[in-house]
Amino acid sequence: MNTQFKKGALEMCVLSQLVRGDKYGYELTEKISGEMSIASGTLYPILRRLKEEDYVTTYLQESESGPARKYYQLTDKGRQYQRQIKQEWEAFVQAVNQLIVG
Amino acid sequence: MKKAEYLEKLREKLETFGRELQEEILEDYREHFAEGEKQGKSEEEIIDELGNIEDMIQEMIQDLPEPEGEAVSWVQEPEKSYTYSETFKEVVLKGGVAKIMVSQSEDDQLHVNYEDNGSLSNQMKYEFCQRQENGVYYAEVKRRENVEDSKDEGDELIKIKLFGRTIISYGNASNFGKENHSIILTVKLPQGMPKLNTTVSSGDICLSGLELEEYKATSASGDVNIKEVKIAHSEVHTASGDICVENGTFDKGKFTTASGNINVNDTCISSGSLTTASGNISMKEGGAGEVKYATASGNINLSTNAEGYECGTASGNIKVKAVGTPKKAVLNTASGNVQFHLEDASGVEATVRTMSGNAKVGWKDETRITAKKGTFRYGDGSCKVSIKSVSGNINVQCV
Repeated sequence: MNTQFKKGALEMCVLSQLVRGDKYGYELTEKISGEMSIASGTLYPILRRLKEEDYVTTYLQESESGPARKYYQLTDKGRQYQRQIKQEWEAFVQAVNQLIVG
Repeated sequence: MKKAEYLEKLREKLETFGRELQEEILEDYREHFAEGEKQGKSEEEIIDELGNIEDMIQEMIQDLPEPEGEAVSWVQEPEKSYTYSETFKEVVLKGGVAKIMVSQSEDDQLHVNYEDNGSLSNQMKYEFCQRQENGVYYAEVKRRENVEDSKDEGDELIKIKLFGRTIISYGNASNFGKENHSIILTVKLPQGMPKLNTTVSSGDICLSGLELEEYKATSASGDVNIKEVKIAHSEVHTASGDICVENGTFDKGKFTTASGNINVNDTCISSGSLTTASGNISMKEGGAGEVKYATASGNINLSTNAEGYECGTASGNIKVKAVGTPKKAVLNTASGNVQFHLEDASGVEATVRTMSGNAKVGWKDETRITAKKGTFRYGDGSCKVSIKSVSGNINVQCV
């Protein structure tokens, strides 16, 4: 698969997961690797990039047991971006479906 | 592999990304291990789930120069420029669908510029390649392998954007053709470059302001335009494209086309031929030595100062207006008409023959003879004219 395409798709999945609420890294990787086969490790650079682009912010929160967790939270910019790429994705899927059906 | 070993390997691999980034990613991984262990997973299971470190590093490498997600990785830059100061004995350009433009360099260096202004799908389809071999410079616009062409002519232009870039784009055939011309290969040759060879399929060739020893051009449907050149040996061939020559000097020039037209203006060709199957041949305001003009169904229209004319056509008409003092003219046609107009000649000896048409021969204002065939001599008879037509009319007029 085209790496740019894959990267974009993963970005969208991560952002969409965060729409429903803040999540910590492990939680996110569990969610995504539960649906598609990916090396969980590759999600961390993606999360880092999303943070760099101000689509998400992070904060640390103590967990009941064990060390503090790094939570990811969607920014307004991230929320807007997620809406945009979700629309693009839906248009894309629709177009592809049209084409493969013939 | 155990956790400690895995993390150590990760640390090593992250070394080149700087301390801060290295620590950040390591921390993410440590947290991942901690969470996984809390879930009761073994170190091996977690390592397996985190996956190959190389894959993750690859992901990070892609982020490094921050491509901003603009260019899709398999699309090359739409414009490329190269300059060479080496001396080449020949330049070979294969344009394919691209337009080739060749002119003289201003600084004795070879300049090559590849420009693709087409859509993304177009840029995906073609790539620019170049190489040097035995003193010869080769540049080629190639169709990429494994890029499929959409052939559904009825389809409308479809462009799908995703994640801020066009990932699918294709249109109907007419659209496709138009896009091809957006690829331009511009080459500037240094002075003294002896040989040039240009080939295109649907792209055009434009040559201007050059001095060459040898030039070869081949085109399928593209046109060949040659302007302001001095070429010793030139061979131009097209299938359906037109050939246009303006202000050129050729010691030996051979211009051939199947269905295209040949238009030559203000040009001197010492020897050679202009040949077309169904196209027309026109040559104006220039000079020529021993040049042959031949067409099957097209017309030949010459208005030049030449030593001799040799024209043949099956069904086309021949019209020659000779300026100066030509020594001979041989004009043959099967069903077309022939018109030979001689200016400034000191004399003519015309042999004409037509089967079912009429032949007219006129010398200045004095004589006008109409006959089916015969030889007519006027003045010193220095210009030997032989005209044959099966069913067409012949008209020889000297003023």
